[in-house]
Amino acid sequence: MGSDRFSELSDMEAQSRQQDDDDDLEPETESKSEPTTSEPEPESQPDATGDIHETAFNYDEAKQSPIYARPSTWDEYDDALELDIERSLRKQDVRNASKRELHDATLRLAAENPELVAEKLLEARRQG
Amino acid sequence: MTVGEPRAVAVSLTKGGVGKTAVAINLADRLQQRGRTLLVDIDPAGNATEGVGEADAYDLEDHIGTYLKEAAMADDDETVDPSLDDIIIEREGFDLIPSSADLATSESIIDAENRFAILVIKQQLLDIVLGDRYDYVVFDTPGDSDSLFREAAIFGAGNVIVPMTPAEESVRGFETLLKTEIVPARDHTDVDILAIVPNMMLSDNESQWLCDELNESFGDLLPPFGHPSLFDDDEEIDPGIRQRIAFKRAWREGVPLAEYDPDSDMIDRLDELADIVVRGGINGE
Repeated sequence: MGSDRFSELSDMEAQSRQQDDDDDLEPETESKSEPTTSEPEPESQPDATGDIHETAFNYDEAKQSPIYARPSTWDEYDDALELDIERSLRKQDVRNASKRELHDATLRLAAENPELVAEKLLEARRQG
Repeated sequence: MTVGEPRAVAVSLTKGGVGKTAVAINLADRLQQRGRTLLVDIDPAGNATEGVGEADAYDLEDHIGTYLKEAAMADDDETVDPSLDDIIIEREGFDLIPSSADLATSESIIDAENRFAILVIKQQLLDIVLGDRYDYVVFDTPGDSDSLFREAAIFGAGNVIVPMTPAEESVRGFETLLKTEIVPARDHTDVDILAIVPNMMLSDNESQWLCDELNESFGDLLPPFGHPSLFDDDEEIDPGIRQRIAFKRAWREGVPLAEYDPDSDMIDRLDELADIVVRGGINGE
């Protein structure tokens, strides 16, 4: 009984360590993205120049900085992440999107749409 | 004396009574022989604070909780009151940030008011002192299942030493620690288990069982002094950090084991553990 318990814990630890190491490595052509299996995923071949199953950049490359927003906005954002964005990614068989990539994409979207950001700000003032 | 790369480590298991405090105090003491070391007692019970002879500090108005709360809310260039200097006790051996009777109160305020509460120990403590003022920082963490400060210490330190006793509850505590803290944290940052330490060991079947199981499933995280083959070696002490009355007496005297009993047969093993921290793992990073 004890043995099973320890070996399950060992598998859990090793899998998460593997995942962690994968995050840290520069993208490799053969590395796996699915943490729950050691079998290579048939669909996990790159379909463009970069491999969409690899995280785009490492934790070390990210800069953490606070964003001040209303709790209701955070809730809407979290719902969108969980319900819509992650579902869209899953359709592409991408299940390992990290928070940093999601936040990075969100900021790029804003940076690429400055008029829309200004419009949203004004909209909030008008409503306020 | 060898100073390796600066390193912080959390001594953690989601279970009380496994000897975390004795491991944390004596690890800090052995690390102090290798570089400047800070012990941070983030367990509201304050056993480490008491065990290094600083029980009076437990009732101070300014403490790690009030510092982290103020620092987390301050702007970049704002002076924080209390300051980090106000809460660090400089001592003859390693320095100490003591626990406080009010730690739990600050913990819940920080948790409620900061979206990035889990980063508070990294940003407000480790980023400031590690590698600058201290070479090594050791956290003695609480065993409660829900502790922001333990999570934040593990997240910030990125290194964990897991003490396990030969008891089923210890295995459950390890399971909880892995499932609820280490594995989820790895989605965001590196968290390495530097070693799993068989602790409070006897020479009974349960102790043999723990060593065998750890060797089988976590062989790469078991220090050489925890190897089950030591049970069969008549020349060697049986494996693990042994249950010795000297640990309890040293704690009561408020001193590390090496000061209470310089001839203790456990000091070499504690030195080995300190070397594992210096190297960043049993076989190095």
